[in-house]
Order: sequence, then structure tokens, then C-alpha cells
Amino acid sequence: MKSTFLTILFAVLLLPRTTLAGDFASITYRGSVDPGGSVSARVTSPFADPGEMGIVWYVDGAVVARNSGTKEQEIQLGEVGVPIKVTAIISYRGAQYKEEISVTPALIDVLWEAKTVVPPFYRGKAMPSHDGVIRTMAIPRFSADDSNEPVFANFTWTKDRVTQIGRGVGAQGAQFLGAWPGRSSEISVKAVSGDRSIDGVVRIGSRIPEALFYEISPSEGLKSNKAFAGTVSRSDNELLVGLVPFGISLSDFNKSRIQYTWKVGGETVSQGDTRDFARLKLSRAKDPSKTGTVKIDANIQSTANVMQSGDGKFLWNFTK
Amino acid sequence: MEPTQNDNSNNKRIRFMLIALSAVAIIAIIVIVVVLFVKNLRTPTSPTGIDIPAGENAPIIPGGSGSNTGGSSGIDAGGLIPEKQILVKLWDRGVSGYSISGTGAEAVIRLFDRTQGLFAEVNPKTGEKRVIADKVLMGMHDAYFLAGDRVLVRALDEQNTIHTFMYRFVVSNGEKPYVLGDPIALADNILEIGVSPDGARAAFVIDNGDDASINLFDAALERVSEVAKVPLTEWLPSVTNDGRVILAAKTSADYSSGAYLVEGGKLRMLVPGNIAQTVLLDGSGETAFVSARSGGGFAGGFRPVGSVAREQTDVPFATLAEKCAFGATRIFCGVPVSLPSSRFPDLWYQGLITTQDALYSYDANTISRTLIASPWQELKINLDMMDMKTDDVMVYFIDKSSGALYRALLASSEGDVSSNEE
Repeated sequence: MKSTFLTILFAVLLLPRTTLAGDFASITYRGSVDPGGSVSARVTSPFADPGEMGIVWYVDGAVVARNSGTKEQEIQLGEVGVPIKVTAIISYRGAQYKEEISVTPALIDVLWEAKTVVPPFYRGKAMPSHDGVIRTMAIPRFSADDSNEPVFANFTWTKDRVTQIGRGVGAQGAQFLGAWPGRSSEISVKAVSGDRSIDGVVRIGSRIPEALFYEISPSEGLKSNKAFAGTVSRSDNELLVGLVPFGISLSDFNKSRIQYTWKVGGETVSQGDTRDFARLKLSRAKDPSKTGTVKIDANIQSTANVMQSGDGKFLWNFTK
Repeated sequence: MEPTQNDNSNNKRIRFMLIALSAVAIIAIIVIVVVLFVKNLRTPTSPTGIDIPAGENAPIIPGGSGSNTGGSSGIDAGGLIPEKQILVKLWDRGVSGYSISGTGAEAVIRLFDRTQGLFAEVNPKTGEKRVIADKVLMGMHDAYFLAGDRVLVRALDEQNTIHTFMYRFVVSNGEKPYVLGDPIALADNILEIGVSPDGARAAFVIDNGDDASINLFDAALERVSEVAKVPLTEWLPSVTNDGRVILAAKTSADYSSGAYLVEGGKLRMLVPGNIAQTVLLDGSGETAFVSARSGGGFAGGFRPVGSVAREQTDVPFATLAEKCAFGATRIFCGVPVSLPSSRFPDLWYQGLITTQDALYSYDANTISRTLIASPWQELKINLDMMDMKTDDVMVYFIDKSSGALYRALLASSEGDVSSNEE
């Protein structure tokens, strides 16, 4: 009896350890799943102290590291759409456990545009301002092979981590209003297609609108290739100046809700609203031999939103 | 009961009437099809499918015969350019669109001067100039030359609506100036136009208010087709010679650009937006030149289009992709001597700053950079280069401040003419 017991005990002690899979622990990772980038993976468990775990990490079947349970493991990612199998063999109090996850690199671009005023034929981006409409668009990429790209993904849009501003299959775009001047809105989007998902985030800061000045020429109209700034030296007897309220809400502009105030040499010379770009004709003194400098100021103010306001100035140095 | 003679006659009559009616119907269908077919050939349709009669909504053309016609209205002619001079001003100001016509020794530059409303040609070797249209178009903003003697012209009205028209140079006996044909109005609010390297196609970004239409214009067929509808309008379109439309997102100092292929009505990522500030694609759409903020300045590089991995060949200068042009084996760029540290390129787009540029070429195969022209050193002038084009014999660009058109002579294959190599 005793020898049988000892034999059995000896056999049990010599038996190879079996690896137990199941819900003992799980692998999580953090970081962006950009192709060619990396994520930090770690093991968590409700049943065990990570400090007592030994972990062997495998990526696609090859050993990449052995470390303690408290350490994160950096996992290199490959091409977009090519999944990586991450395996952790966990040793804990004489038992082994196996956990696995798959990480698939993906990309997402979060584009946006502000619906605010820009000079005609402008090739840059419109500037966001307070309460101006901002539209977004997400373009995900799940696969390197175009034929494997999903026709539709499911999008969820969130503003400042709290407010949902859009969701649904094919909801590639969303819309919201700009933040207070000097502040930013954080727009995040999650795109999911089957078992693949990608998160994107963009911060969009609001600025104060400003007045941009351009010469208006009889033959060319508003000459938006060159703005008046600083000191402008011209020998013209007259100068027709157009004002573009850069960054003002397009909606307010189109509804003639923008009040313009012009000052020449500190004195108000013109006030009013217009749906067009405001303009002012500057005439120098009748004596063409007189030269000098005069300051031109302009203020723009939306009558619908006190935060939609701005100003600008330049010096006209009239020369011979 | 046997059918009577009357019954037989009636049946024959009915049969005859049915056959006659059928024949009439068939003939009518054929006529309708032919009429529609011929009509489509003659009259291009707007994106909405409504025919626009030629001449409707035409811009103001002062007089019937125009002014400033012919070669004698103050336009220079004749060889004024020293043979080996590298940097030459071809047109003094106001150039807001040009193209390279012909190749090699036969190349001429067609341009539109918006200050005078003139269409003109300039010989880049001799400097000889001539007006090529019998009318002037005042109040136009810019022009885009297409193949087949066609040109797209845009104008802004007082309500800030952009109007676009297509004109044809009617070449009757080959003598210039050509007759400028009646305009054909295209859609309103075409915000941006990109022309394929061979001039056969153009891509439009049309602002619909709530979204944007991306359209492809076939110059030979004079036909527009919508290829996508997208929520945003801020795109710089380009077209490859095989008709692929690629959109680069407009950029600002705090925001990166990306490039996207229009395919199946959707946008597919070609160049991810997290790596580029500005993007320029070569004519085949296979290689992109990207520039992005790096540290306190800009850095540029080449990357294969369509690969979303991070491989990129860096170039040893920093500039905007808009100041560059692809040649057959090299890229040519206007490189600013210095760049502002903030709000760039926004300040440049707004016209608040200009850059002082030198012209370089870069060969990605040999990894060599060559200084082609330094305007300040050679001519004591500052040039802010943009809208660059090349035929690998010369490089052309417009100075943003003045609208003057310049050309730079490239070194021959036997060796440099007189460039400064670094």
C-alpha cells in the first residue's frame, strides 16, 4: 500500500506540466496599431499577482522575450491588414497558462474642415472659430490589399470623450461647432469592420478671426496672392482695399450678419454690413508731392455671436 | 362557317395597319436615338445633365474684335535671350495659368495673363511672344490649358460664386491669333482643378454646400462625370494620364495632409495623413513627394504611393510640395532660404509672407542634389516660386508676388552649361 502510494506520488511529481488555457488571465495592449509601429502588451489576471508570474512571450510562434508579470512587452507590428498572433505562456505556482490575442495593424485618417470664410481661390485650410461649423471625415484602411478592404465600416464619433456626435454603418462624417478661442475640441472616431477595428483622434483648436486686406484691382478683382500687412509702400493716388474676414462663420457671412468698421488714422470712416467682402477706397492728399504714413484699421463683428469677432491693421506709406 | 370575302378584307386591313404602326414606331425610336446622340456630341452637358446652350452665362467680352490683338500691341518679339542664360523672365506679370505645348526644340509656352485678359504664346528659347486669341477676357481669375486647343477659365462674381467656362481656340488656317470660340459654361463653384500631364482630362472639386462632388472632365468628349461625393471640400485634385483621380487634403500649420485615390465612389488611402504636410504626386500617380514639419522646420521625402508602410527616401531640403514638379528622373523644387517658424504654410497661402527661393533638382536614384538657379545671386531679385512645370529641358515657374513667368534652362546631357553644383 505504502509503496503504491509512493509510486503514484513519484509519478505525479515527474509528470510533464500541462498548459492550461482558459480565463485565468488576459492579454491587453495599448498604443496605436499603426503599421510598422509597436504596441505595449501586458498580462492581467483577477486570480493572481502579476509579480508572481513568469511569462514567455511569442509573436507568430517565435519567442521574443521572457519576463516577469509586471513588465510590459513591446510588440512590433507589420504591414497594414497583416495580423500578428501574440501568445503568452504564463507560469504561476507550478501551473502554466496560455493566452493569445491577434493584433492587426490598421490606419485611419481623421480629416476635418471648418466652414468659415477664406479668401477667394484659397488653397490652404479654413480656420476653425468659436461656434463655427466643423465637418469631419474618417478614412480607415484595414488591409494592404484593396480587394480585402471592407465596403462599409461601422463608425462611432465622440467629441471631448463625452458627447456622441455620430454613429452608424457608413457614417464616415460628423459635424460639430468649434470650441472657445484658444481651446480645442478632441474628436475621436472608432471604425469597426468585422473583427478589425481602429481608433483615430484629432484635436482641433479654435482661433480668433482676423481681418485680411487685399488690393482690389479693376482688371484682376481681389488680388489674393499678396495681402497687405505691416507697412505697405505705394505711390498710387488711390487704393481700393478689400477686407476678407478670415475665420468668420460662413453662415453668418452669407446672411450679412457681419458688421465692419473701418478706421483711417484712428478715425472711423465707414461702418456697415455686407454679404460681400467689405471694401474701402483710400485716397491720398491732393498734393502728390506729399508723402506720409497712415494707419488703416478694421474690425469685424458678427451680430449673431459676440465671440465671432476680429480685427486687423496695416500702415499705408504713400510715396512719391 | 366559312369566312366571307368581307372578313378576309378586314383582316388584311387590320394586319396592314398593325405593320404600318410598328414601322412608324421603329422609325421614330431610331430618329430619337440619332438626335440624342448627335446632340450629345455637339452640346456638352453639365453635371446635372441639363444641356447648356453655347453662349449662355458667357462672361463679358469687351467688343466683338477685342483689343490688344496681334503682335504689335507692345509685346516684344524676337531673340532677346542670350543662348546660355539659365534664368530668364518670359512674361512680366499676371500669369495665372500656363502649359507647355510641344516638346524639345518645338516647345512653346501658352499662358493666360489676367491683368490684360490675354492668351499668348512665348518661345522659351528665343523669348518671342505672340497673342494667340482674337479676344481678351477681362475679369478672369485663372486658366487651365487642356489638350485639343481647349482652355478652362474661372471667374468670381460679386456674390463670390465661382463660374467656370470652357473655350476652344478655333484653328482655321493655322494662322494666329486664333478665333476664341463661344464659351461653354460648366458647373458653378468649381473650387479646384487638376489637369492630367497630357492635358486630356481634368478633375474638379465642386462645392455643393453640404458636400463636394469630385468630377472628371474628358477634354476630347467635352463630357463631365461625377466620380465621388464626399463630405468635405478642401481638396487639391490631380489626375493621372490614365484617368485616376487623386485628392490631396489641403493643409495648414497644425494639420497634416494625406492623399487619397477616388475609386468606386469612395476614397482609398494612398499617403497616410499623419506623415505629410503637403503632397505632390508624379504624373503616373506611383510616387509621392511629401513634406512635413520636422523639429523646427520642414523635411521632405519620396515615398511609393499606395504603400501605407513607413518607407520613405528623404531629400536634403525642406520645401512645400507645391513648389515642386516631377521630371522624368528628377524632381525640381523651389527651396526657400528660410522658413518661418510658425503658421506656415498658412501665412504663405494668405499672401502675408513670401519666400525667397533657389531652384534645385534632386535625383532619387543617384541621391544627388543640384543647384540650378539662385535668383538672388544671379539677378538680385527675390522669387517666390510656385506652379512649377518641366519638360526636362527647362523648368518653368510663376513668381507668386508678381505673377511673372520664368524659365530655367537645365544642363544638357553632355554636362552643365553653367550651373553651380554642390
